[in-house]
Amino acid sequence: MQKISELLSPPAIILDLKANEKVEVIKELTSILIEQGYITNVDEFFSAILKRENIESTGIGLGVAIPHARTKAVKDIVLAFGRSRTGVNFSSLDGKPSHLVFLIAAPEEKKSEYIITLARLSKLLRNEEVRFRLTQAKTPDEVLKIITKHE
Amino acid sequence: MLEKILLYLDGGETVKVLAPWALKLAKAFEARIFAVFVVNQATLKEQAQKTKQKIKNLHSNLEEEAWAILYEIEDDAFEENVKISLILEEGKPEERLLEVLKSFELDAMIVSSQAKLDFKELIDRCQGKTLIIK
Repeated sequence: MQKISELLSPPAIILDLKANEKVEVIKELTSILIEQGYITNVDEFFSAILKRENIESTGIGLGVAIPHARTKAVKDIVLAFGRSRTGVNFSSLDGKPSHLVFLIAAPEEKKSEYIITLARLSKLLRNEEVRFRLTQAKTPDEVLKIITKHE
Repeated sequence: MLEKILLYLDGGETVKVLAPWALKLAKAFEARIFAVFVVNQATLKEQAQKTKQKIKNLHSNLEEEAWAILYEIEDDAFEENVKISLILEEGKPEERLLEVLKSFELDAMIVSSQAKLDFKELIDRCQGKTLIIK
């Protein structure tokens, strides 16, 4: 089972998201994974991730959102991270905008790894120190160091 | 009419037994499930004394297990087209459940008859909401 820090690479980290609306943020983060060759069918992936957003709020509160999808349109489990200075409305139950957005893409057949990745990431991001440090990180490498240290 | 249903999950077995039934019920009513797991500090202390493990380590393991349980049912809800919200709370389960019930104005609460809960307290304090003990 791969660690969170092994599923996220520096090119998949955006420290200042351009988009400030949920669907646009998801598109901005997905575009990185498309460039990296992880998404084999863009329409199918978007459809899956937006359907999930409709079923549930992926804003887990505390300024964090984890949009995610498990679909045949993905080659392997991978993460992208974006940070929003203004915050994005992911309809979190606590009503707060999300500043830290982690997108998880997983292939259909890797259900257990996908669930464990979601669980580990959610646990990690409930740590107040981790959230604070991620908001302060100046480089993608620093983001990865913070995650590596705390996971 | 049920629109918002609290589903209390306290471990792997309750997910297997209770979750499929709760999803069927939610689908029939087109209701949203609020799946709730409560990390019980008192239970963690007891476990730490019994196992001689650090509370911090037990807490970390339980929190990860809790999220895995919540995401497992979320994945099932996705397959069934049932709307769902995931909530992880800490503290005394009865207190947290009643708080969630009240703050999100939920219509009903589903709990397992095997859950380690004070059912009398839940019944006394659920303020006329439907309580389903299965």
